[in-house]
Amino acid sequence: MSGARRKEEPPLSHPQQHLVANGGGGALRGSVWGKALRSDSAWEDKDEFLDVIYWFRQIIAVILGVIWGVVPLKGFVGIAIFCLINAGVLYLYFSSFQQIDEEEYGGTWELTKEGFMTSFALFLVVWIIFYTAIHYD
Amino acid sequence: MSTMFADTVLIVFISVCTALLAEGITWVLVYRTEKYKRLKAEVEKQSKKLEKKKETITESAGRQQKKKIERQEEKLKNNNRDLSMVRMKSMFAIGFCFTALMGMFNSIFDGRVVAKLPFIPLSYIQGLSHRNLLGEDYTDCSFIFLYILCTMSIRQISVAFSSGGAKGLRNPYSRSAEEMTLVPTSNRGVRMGLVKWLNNRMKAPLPQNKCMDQTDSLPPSTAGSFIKSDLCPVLCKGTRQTN
Repeated sequence: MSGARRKEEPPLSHPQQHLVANGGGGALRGSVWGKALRSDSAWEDKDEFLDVIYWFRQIIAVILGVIWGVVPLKGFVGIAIFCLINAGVLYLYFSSFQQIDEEEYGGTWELTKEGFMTSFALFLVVWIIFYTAIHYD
Repeated sequence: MSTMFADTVLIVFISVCTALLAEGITWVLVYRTEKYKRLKAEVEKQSKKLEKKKETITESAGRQQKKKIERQEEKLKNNNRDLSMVRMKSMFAIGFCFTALMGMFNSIFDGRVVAKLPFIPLSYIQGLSHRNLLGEDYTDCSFIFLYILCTMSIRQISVAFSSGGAKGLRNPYSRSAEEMTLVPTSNRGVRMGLVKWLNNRMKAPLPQNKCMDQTDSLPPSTAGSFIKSDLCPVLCKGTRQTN
């Protein structure tokens, strides 16, 4: 397939090829998430990587909120463990999995706090909802 | 479904609706206007250009190059300021609407326990989480606490979606425009947004320790000139912000 296409069209650079082949913005987002799930990807656009960190944080917040609400995990222990897991998982992700240079993003602290408050609020909402629904319904 | 859980779901739904309403008002009053689109495009173009220039600048770069960068930064700040002024309109409209809505919801949910908290909040938060509720059980959650939490998360996420990812929350040159209208009823106000923007600017270096007195080809902007003179001593120092 790709060989036949190359005869008809001039060769495209990889990101463009991805866009044309799959139709636009959705494909671009797909390639960002593809990069996010691949180890040691190159991140030319710093904002892109920070977006990935931001959204990963929200996903972790929802997952932990559901688990904490179902188990249930109560008290400040739940909050403390959430903070540890949230910060720890993302730290391992950007330092070990992606192996990025933290200094390019303003240091480990900047990466750690990226989207943290939003994810904390989201975690609390999901935790409260599931806790109320399952244990007080 | 019990009444309490129904209230919980209702409050989340109200929060989503108010987030959409806020974005809708902002779209009608701001986003679809030509002035806003022009300014936003200008700010994005200038900030990209500036970042590229800063990356290529070396230690031995001439004074002229550094002056050029300084002028571009000033232009960008002025455009950013104008952009924020355009968004002020929507902020007032949203503030007014939400004050009315909050009054209405407060009276509807007054004295009702809308959720159970899986933790006991700190004493200074109990004033919010246990507001207008009877009894001493501080795991009872009031409307306002849950609403604020929902707003903090949902509104931020809806803005992140509408600004093309969390970029709009983060670009040091356009952040004030986003921050100033984010979550108007929640933890960030205009003042906080401006303070954060200033903090970010203080981290970015100015090529020389000079105040912005150059007025060469800068577009006239009363807001810009006011800011220029007022922020001069603040902005003429700082270390590089590397993100």
